[in-house]
Amino acid sequence: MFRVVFDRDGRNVFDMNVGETDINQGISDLAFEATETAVIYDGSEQYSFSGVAACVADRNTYAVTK
Amino acid sequence: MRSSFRMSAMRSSFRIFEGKSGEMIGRVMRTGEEEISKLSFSHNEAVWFRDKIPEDGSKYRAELWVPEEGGEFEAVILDAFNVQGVSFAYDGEFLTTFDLSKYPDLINYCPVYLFDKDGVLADVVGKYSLISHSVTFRGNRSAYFPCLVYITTGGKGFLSVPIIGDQSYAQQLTGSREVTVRYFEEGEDV
Repeated sequence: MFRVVFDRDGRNVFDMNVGETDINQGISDLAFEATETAVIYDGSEQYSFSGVAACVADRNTYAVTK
Repeated sequence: MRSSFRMSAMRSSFRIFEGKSGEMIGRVMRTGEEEISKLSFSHNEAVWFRDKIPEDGSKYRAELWVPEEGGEFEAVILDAFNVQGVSFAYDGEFLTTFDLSKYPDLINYCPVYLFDKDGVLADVVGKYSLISHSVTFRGNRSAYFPCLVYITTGGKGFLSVPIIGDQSYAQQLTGSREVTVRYFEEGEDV
């Protein structure tokens, strides 16, 4: 279980616990670096229409669904 | 409905915590110049980010979120490439190839979809080839344009994705939730 928090201009706008995390796309080393591509999603296939795809090199893709 | 189209400085922070211990295991902070901020949109209303690639060489990003639990929704960010497909016969069937060499940041095998004025072909997906810098679909698909599609669906959700295409927009495909959409020029990660 992970908790994901997103703030804009110091104000929390999104806060959610997620049960499944794809550790193969950036946070497997528990060092979530800006240069890595990370996709967090609800267990659906990464490369599917219903999932979230990492498509662009060296640019982060973040996604959380529930 | 409220919207803003002025440029303004912004800062975003994305953090991940381990659920049990509360330990922060990842953090990205970013600054940028916000170009579009739309605080709500209704079912099927598209929020357009751009209709051509900016010539300033900057990197752009779109963020979309539904912060509270509620009715089921599906929201999409579509990033489309203004590229004409070339159809040809091969081994008894038609194929259509789109040259995407103009977009060098694409990842090998990333999923590419097709769209036209009626929307995205949901059951047709191609895999981008970094060797040929192109994507090929079965059939004559020259009437369509290739695109990247990012979706969040459920009771609440969040997306933050890079925008690299010529034409890009966000749209709530199902549901009637209030969705926040922002498009901005990326600054430095801090």
